[in-house]
Amino acid sequence: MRDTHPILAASDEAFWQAQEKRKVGALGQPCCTQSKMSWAMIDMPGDFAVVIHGESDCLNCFHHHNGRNAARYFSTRLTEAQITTGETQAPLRHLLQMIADQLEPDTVIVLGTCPVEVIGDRFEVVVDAVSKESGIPMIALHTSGLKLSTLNAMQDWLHSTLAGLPQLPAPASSERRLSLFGMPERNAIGPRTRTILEQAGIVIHGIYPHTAGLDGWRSVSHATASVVVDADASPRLVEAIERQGSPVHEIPLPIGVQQSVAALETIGDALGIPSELKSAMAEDRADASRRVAAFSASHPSPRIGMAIRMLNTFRSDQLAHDGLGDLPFLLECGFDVTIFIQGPPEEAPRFEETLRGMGVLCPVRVFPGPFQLVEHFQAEGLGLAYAPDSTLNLFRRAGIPSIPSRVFAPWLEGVTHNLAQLERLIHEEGAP
Amino acid sequence: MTGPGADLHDLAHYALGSMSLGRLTGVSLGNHAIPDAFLLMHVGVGCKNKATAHLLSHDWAEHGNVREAWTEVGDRDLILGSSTRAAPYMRSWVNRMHPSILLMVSVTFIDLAGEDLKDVVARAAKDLPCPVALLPAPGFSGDMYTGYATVLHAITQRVDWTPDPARASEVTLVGYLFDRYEADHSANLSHLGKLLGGIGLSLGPSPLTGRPLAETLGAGGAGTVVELPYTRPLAKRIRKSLGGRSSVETDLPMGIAGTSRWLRVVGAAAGADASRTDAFIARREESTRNQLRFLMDRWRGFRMAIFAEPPLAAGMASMLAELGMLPTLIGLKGTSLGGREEFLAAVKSDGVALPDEVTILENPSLAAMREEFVTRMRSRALEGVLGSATDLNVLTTIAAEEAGLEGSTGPLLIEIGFPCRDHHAIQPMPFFGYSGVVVQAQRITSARRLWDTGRDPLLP
Repeated sequence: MRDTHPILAASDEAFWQAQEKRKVGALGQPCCTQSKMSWAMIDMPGDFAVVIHGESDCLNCFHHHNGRNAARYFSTRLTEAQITTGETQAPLRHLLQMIADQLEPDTVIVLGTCPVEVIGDRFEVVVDAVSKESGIPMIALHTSGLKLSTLNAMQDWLHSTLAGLPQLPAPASSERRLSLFGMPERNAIGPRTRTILEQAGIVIHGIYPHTAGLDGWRSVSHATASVVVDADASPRLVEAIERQGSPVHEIPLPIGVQQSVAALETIGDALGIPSELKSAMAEDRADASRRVAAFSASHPSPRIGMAIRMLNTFRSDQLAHDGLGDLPFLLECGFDVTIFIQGPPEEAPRFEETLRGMGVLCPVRVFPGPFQLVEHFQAEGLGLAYAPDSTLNLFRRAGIPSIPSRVFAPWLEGVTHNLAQLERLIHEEGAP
Repeated sequence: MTGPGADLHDLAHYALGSMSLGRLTGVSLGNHAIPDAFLLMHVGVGCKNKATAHLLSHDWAEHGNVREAWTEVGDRDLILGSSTRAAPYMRSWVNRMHPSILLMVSVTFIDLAGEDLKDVVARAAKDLPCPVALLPAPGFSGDMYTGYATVLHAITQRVDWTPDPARASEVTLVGYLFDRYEADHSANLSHLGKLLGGIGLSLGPSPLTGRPLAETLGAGGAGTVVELPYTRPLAKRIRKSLGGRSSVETDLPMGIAGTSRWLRVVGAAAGADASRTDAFIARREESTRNQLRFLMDRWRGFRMAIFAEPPLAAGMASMLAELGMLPTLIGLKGTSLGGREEFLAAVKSDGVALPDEVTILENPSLAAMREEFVTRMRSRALEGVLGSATDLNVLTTIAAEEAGLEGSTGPLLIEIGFPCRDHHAIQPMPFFGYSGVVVQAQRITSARRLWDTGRDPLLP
């Protein structure tokens, strides 16, 4: 944030020094847990309601237009008088009772907001009472924007809460049932990958978080084994799944050949059928490896900048590995990657240390905000960009071809499509 | 109210609505409409999304997030006093972005701490090279249109509304809702300029129309001030800010009759030659009707739903009626732009008769809309829906089986208003004026259907 200009007061220096001290080297963006949980659940299939306990405008920090459950979202719409006098229990009780009586959902999730957290509202007491009276599971979460939680922590909290819901009765089954957590929203398991898994005798039980729905979360315990992308970032979820009785194994985000093979091998080991799965994927693995090698040979070390820590998202695949889930694929394709991290430039050494700790050896640059990203790319002489879609206009204007973050398709079957996207990027007008 | 003295309501009151967006979103839209303004939000981290979440979906031409920032307030800051954060952020962002104006907002949970942010901002603003406006954006009252009007007021206050304007034949628009830099709004403004040119007037600089602040501050030189309905949330204050200049209030220039009415009202206020105005209107009405003639019979009797704020809903209802359709379901968004009364008055002024069976929902919840859609589809009484992406999203949750329409294509879906997710204008696509009628008719003709089976939609 620091800069030098006559209008900058000298006393600001101390302010910015203190400001930077409170920043940690973690790569994640801070988030409002209410906002992101609301966002994450609005398109989740299932018969449930979400109550946002606060003022009306707290309903507006997530999309209203992309979700099948928008009509099941409510706000206690607290007035100024109710907030300032602390009389927040009556409207919450009244609303929960109406939801229970009129909608009879399977579950109700009540989210806190900054105004009710500031006044110390213990709304879980009301939620528990109405839940008992109605017999409908109701969960109170003290979410808000006050804690500046990381996106990963938010996601872990939400997913562990959902995985901890009372479970549906398990069907009698001797199948090898697999649950996958942290998968991309689109094409999480394509037809070819499904065939590979089926050939090895695996039944896909659930794909989380975007596809499974409420009933999927209420049957976490039914899986023979569960695999979790970037499990280190989801300790509470891992614990919740294990508590429900399904053993957990970590996999990388299955983008590109190396990560897809590693994920499939882990699945094979987890279900006790390593050779079956190796055999089922052999042909696809060979084909994908050949294609990557051919791409790499025809494009020797193209330079690309990868911008991270810019997304405020609820999408698990975008959060996995601190936004670096696609990096191994770019590297195996032969790209020379420079990583750009949005944050205070003075914190560059700490960010770099964090990345090195993750085994990432690429050069690291830190930039303060989206509007300065392009000039940092230009200063490095970079002609290709991997960045969030909210910055693509900036790159377009600068004549730098760019590809939006996390558009690569997963698994071995995604490799052909992903390479085609990279081909288009390299051959786009303006590319070096 | 469900009990004496209790501030309790029915379930619909608490549900997410067709328009639940609040003041902060409106302020963000206002900031977006000034390409060299900057919005600094003294808010919590989630509040940032109120400013950008829908705007980023809506405007693909300019990303609103690059001219907005926040002061990174957390719980620790609330305890220690968060207002001290404001000044360093103000200085830093102004130094970095050189905005023409710095707009600022705070939110309820910070205001609860009772700090004198106003004073902190005022003192810091003295040393800045640009004006600063701290705007109210409480989350418990007002709607998106209130927030937008707040920015509009901040700008009209800064215009020199000279009592003796130099450009007598020029018209300035106060209260244009400019929410994106795509070719619908640029076409609206360009088309209005041409229409005014047709009656001997011209469109001058107008606040919040996607032009730099310095340019729009020249609005005071225009001879005629036209007040569009989006001033309504703060009409008295905005009128007062005109410094004694009179203004002429109009509805939106939409539909054939609505556009002609608008031109007559503005022309009369500006002293345009009435016979020239009439002749121009007659020519344009005829050419517009000629363009549409071959389509009219195909649509006759289509029962349509419109979900929009009252001024836009009225313009669309008039337009659809002129196209031979029946606007039978109207959902009026928000509270600050009026309701049923204002809607009906605007439609009546166009001489358009609404069908007897019209239902008007005021500020409906998404749940109520869904129920209404299902009921109408079950009784085969809904051929099309015009609404925002939020409204149309509700329809996408209805399966053909639930609506009793298995095998049907379902109603036409046409995105209008804010936010749009799928409708983006890369070529001139106005919704104002005579050209707006033709363009919207074209959009309806080629609109997608809820369940596109590829069958002839007129088949059972």
